Amino acid sequence: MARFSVALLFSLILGAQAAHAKKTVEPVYQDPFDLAAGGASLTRASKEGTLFSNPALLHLASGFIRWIGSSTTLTINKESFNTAKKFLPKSAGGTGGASSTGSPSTDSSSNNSSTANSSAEIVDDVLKNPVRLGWGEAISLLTRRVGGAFFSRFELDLGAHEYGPAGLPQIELQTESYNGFALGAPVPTPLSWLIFGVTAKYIMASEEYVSADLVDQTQISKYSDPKMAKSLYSQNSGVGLDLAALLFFQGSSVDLTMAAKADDIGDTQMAGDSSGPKQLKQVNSAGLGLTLHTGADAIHLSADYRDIGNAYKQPLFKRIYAGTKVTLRQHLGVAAGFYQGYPSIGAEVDLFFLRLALTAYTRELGDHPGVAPRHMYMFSLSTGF
Amino acid sequence: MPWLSKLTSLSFLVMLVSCSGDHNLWDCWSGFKRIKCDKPTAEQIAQNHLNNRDFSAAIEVLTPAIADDPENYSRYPLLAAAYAGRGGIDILGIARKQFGSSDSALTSFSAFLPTPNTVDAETYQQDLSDVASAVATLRAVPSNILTDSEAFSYSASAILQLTIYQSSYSIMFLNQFIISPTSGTITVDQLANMTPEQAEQVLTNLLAVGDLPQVSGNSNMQSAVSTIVTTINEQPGATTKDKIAAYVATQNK
Repeated sequence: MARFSVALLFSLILGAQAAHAKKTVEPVYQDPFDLAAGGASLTRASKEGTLFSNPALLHLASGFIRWIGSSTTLTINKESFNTAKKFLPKSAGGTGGASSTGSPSTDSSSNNSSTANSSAEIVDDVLKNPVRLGWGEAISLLTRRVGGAFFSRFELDLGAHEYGPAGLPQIELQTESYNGFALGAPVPTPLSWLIFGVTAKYIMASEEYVSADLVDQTQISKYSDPKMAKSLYSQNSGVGLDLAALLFFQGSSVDLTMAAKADDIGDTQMAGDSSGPKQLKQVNSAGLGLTLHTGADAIHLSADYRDIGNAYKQPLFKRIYAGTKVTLRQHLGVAAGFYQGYPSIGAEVDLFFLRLALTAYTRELGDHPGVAPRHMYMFSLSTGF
Repeated sequence: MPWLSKLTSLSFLVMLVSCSGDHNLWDCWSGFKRIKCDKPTAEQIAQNHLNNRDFSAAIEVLTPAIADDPENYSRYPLLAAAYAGRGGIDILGIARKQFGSSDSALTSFSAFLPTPNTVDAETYQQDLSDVASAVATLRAVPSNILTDSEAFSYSASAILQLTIYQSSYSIMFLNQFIISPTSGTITVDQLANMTPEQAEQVLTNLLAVGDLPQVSGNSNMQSAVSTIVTTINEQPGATTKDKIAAYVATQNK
């Protein structure tokens, strides 16, 4: 069974036919701390996330250089993490193997049986628990006047169901890959409380979705067509432009921030061999933020309403993001919020040249809450200042 | 300033609430009651029940949904899967097993179906009835949809399921007469309870598998069942019951 499943997975990876692509209303790149605060980043974004969320925020930096450095993020869903832990040896921090009874066995047949049971359990675990893994990298230089970032992120999602949407066992593979370069700048106005922002971006992207009924071997074998494989590793590319406006009213202890943002002005056209995305639609969003602060500590409450015109025909819960960030002495931060309606939480520690962040959030892949949630852990390591 | 302390409290409240669980605010069952919830479709709810192996709950969701909109045929394969699951068909086991013409389809198939020795007689009849309902549900889909057409995403799955369920029903119907409830072995002695009409019914059921349209994925299964029919017809005997008895004797060797 394990061999069958592995063969099937390779068939899918080697040759994938895109059924549909999924584009979300979110920025193409997000900082983990912003995600922890429910993904509400239009009025307050972190590091390179600023370029993608709201370039006007660059103007609010206290020094000339806001950030220079690189960030690496790793994401894994809770279920994969638990499954991996389950099958790790106890000495490696796992719970000791799926079918381990905790008593040593010297019988080789017993060991073989245990191995077979473990393999079956791995497959059954994959059937019950989807696997989602991701990786991200960004190198950026952000100043008060201008900012630029190279970014790359990739996420893979493998899910299997004993009963798929048509009633038969089904396996689904989804990939999401966004890479490119963004250059953004704030555009101050004579009014101190009004700042515009602009980001130009070159994006290479692919979003793939393939599925197959496990019963139908002919359906699976057709995925080994090399033409189909090309779609999985090739990417579409395009140049886009984002515009933003920020209304910033600063007080001695309270700041009020309002933001308006238009991503992918006039729709960003994507060209290439990948089945998607062919176009990034223009998304208009609005955000509201309130910051209570002393000289060194701050509490920031924010909410974003994304894709006001609903260009992507997304349900409401996928367009509202809200959360709060608490930063202490500019070195410690905790954040929590509601990302796509699900609770999110995270923390970051800034050790001058090293920044560590850990975020837990849930992403809904379905079109209704609870249809295909992915409970994600994201770990980020940034070096820079 | 009292409003400042309220805002501070609010931000910590957001943190506390977000730490309280992983339910979506828009969830109809466990979300925030003061906002209009976002309910999954009947198909999505039913699929969730199916994967939790709560087949009766899936049937309860889909039956009224189909009654309300009988021409939405995408729901029929899910309802059939729910009946088949409740009837004890191990669909994943069948998915894992690749049927070839060299296999003994009778014994191979039976491994994924309830047999008279694994459940009591009453349960077996209920299982048989559920599998019959699965077949009937898919038979209600118009024949022009039950083709390998790309116009309907569920067509190929529906015909593949119908092949599986029709085959399963045929073999379960036969097994009740040939598998000993006590030992679980195939035995000719059990056939004493079979009437000539039931013997004809066995063949009719099996032949119905071959009559289904051939689509991607169901040909191996059709061949396997067809082999049973051919082998039965090749057996010596004056009546269908005699031929089945002779066939069962070969399976018992």
